[in-house]
Amino acid sequence: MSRGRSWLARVATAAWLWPLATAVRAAPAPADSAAVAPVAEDSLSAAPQEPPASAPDGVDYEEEPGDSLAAGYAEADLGATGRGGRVQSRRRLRFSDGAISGEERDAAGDALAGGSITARTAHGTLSAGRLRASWGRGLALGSAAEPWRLAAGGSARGPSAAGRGDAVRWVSGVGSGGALEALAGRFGGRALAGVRLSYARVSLGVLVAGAAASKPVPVSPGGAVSVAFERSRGAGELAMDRGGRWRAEAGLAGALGGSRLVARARGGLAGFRSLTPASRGDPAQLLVAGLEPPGSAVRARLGAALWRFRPGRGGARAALEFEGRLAHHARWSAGLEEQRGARRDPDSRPGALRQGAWAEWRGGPGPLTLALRQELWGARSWAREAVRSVTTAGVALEGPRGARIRVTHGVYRTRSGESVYLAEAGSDRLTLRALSGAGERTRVEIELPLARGVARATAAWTVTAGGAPRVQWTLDWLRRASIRRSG
Amino acid sequence: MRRLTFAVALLTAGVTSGVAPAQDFVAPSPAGPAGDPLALLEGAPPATPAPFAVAGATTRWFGLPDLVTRATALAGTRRGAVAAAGLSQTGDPEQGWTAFGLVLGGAERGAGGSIRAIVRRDRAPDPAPGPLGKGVGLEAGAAAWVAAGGGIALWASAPQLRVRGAAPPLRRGLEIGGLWHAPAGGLWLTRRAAPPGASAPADHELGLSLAAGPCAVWGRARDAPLRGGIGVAAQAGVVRAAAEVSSHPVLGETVSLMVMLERRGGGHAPVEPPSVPSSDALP
Repeated sequence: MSRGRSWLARVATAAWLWPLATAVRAAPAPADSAAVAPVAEDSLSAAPQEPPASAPDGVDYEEEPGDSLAAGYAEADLGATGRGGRVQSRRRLRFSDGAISGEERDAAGDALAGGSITARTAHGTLSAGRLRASWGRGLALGSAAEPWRLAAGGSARGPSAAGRGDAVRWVSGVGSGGALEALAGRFGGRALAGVRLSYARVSLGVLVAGAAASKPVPVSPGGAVSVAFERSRGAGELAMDRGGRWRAEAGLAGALGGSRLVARARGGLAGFRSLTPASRGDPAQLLVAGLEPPGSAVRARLGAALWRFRPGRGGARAALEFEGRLAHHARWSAGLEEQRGARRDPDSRPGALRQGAWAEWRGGPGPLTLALRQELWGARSWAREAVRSVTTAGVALEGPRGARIRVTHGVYRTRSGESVYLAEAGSDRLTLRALSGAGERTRVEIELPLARGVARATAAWTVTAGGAPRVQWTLDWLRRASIRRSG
Repeated sequence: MRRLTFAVALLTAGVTSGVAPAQDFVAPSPAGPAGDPLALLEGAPPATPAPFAVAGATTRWFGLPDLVTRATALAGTRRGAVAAAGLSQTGDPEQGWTAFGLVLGGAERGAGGSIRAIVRRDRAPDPAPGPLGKGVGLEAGAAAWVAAGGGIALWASAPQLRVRGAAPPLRRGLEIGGLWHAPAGGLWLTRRAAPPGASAPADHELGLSLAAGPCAVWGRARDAPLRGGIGVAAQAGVVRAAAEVSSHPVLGETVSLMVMLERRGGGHAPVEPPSVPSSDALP
């Protein structure tokens, strides 16, 4: 079952005929086009960006933007992208009609390609296609949160491609407040099926998985049991695989003397493996705490995390971040962070100390916005012996009728074996652009209203010492329209 | 060929970066948003300029009598739009070059932005061929500033976003800076990232300007390597004159002189340090 070409994806694609036909018959109100949101700011968080540990270092990483489509709308995003003389078309269609919703991404070689459709009936919800499945805290199935996310101030990103698979899922109500979920599909090249029963915010699930010919070590058939609970101030999960190896995690969010406290603890055996690839290399034990004291003008966040994959292989992080809001919608942020140890097992540079500092300011009167950012990482205390540095400046100019131009210029310098990641938001994805060595990257984006939608053009080029500029471009047109029947 | 003079001086000194923050249209002025034509062409973001100004400047680099830049430029503003154009010549007919610069942008209360393009051509009789023609090079960049409140202006300037054809005499990286402006003067801090290929780290500049009546004086200090400069400006009617001497520990002194004529609506302009945005441009 190849990605993006599975029978499930084809079913999902074919299912487009119905809502698109509906959309053609519908009479979209002129205001509907205005519902198309501008592309988000590149930096979702002021904290330094990095891909998940499951993604390889030094490689561009793409994930979904994490936005959602309101019920009663359909959206078409057609475009093309070019890089190194290769041109690739891509398409993203999605709709939501309350009872039925779906999405299809179609592009050769696109990690995010695939489609899914969800139908809600009086008896339950049926989903098919490329789905992201997660139970409880993501220990047995799904993607568990990485410990350093909290330490770095959290993440507002959407789901990554690694946590999704081609699957069919049925969820139906059982009794009052109960639910039964059945899932079957293929995640990370491995067949997987499971059933979960939820009642009173407690769930019990059983999973079985087939063998996988993954490299370098083939994965043998397996299974897992998951017991999870969810309350307003906390959630937890206990997962156990077929060999009796277990892992448990609990998280809570509450108040401590007026401050907001978030904590998470995980324990278990190092031999436990999640059945889905996104969490297969997660730490077996971790302890995470985040504290946000009350403040209106300046907010502070303190985070710390300790984790261990197995004896002798662990890591720690601590971060302190400040964020302030100024007049005229301007805001600033600054932070310090120290990293030690391994972020994955195995890790190319286990035990390396990294100390970093960053500062960002963005604001401006009226239609002009300026953003400045400086980030520096060193291999010694006080960020000495710099291993990564990046300076970024961006200007955005808002024009009439939603027109917008944005220019971002970044100068980076990394030591051999290190990479910096620049977040670049597109209409249908967030890309963490991996850059190594010394160079400059410039990105120009133009958005114009066109044919009751929004046309976006992006050109970016990276210049390194002695090398020709590497140019990338994207061109797309996005339209969002109401599919509710008029009258 | 035009790189030769600079390259000889730099290689002799073992310095590859942080030599000069400006080149073809360099003029004595503090860092930050500017209204004079030469600073605009050099990459400064546009503050509210005079309705019309014309300026001429000459700079002798590192005490080398053959390495002199002569530049003239004019700028004007109308309904918030800003434009500037200028011509510059550096060096002698054998090793020098000629540059033409153009800036288009806009400035209003508390913000401004511009794009710039510089075209250079070697003056040598038979310059090296290139994609834009023999000895011809093009660079394009942009700059913007906004008022951040409390009398502070922040800016970013990337004078060489795109370079094509013959290489410029110096690669210039991204500059970001902040200026605290008061009626009696200003204080600024800038950071210039090293361009690609430069082994030196980014350099920083700290400057202070003071204004008293029709005169202004400023000083600046830069690191990597540590060096500094002192400038003075005076205004009489529509004429403004300025001079700056900067010193490099290895390469020597650079002297720059400028004369500018500007027309302001309604009479004489208030005296302020050149390049510092006028008080009505800041909140």
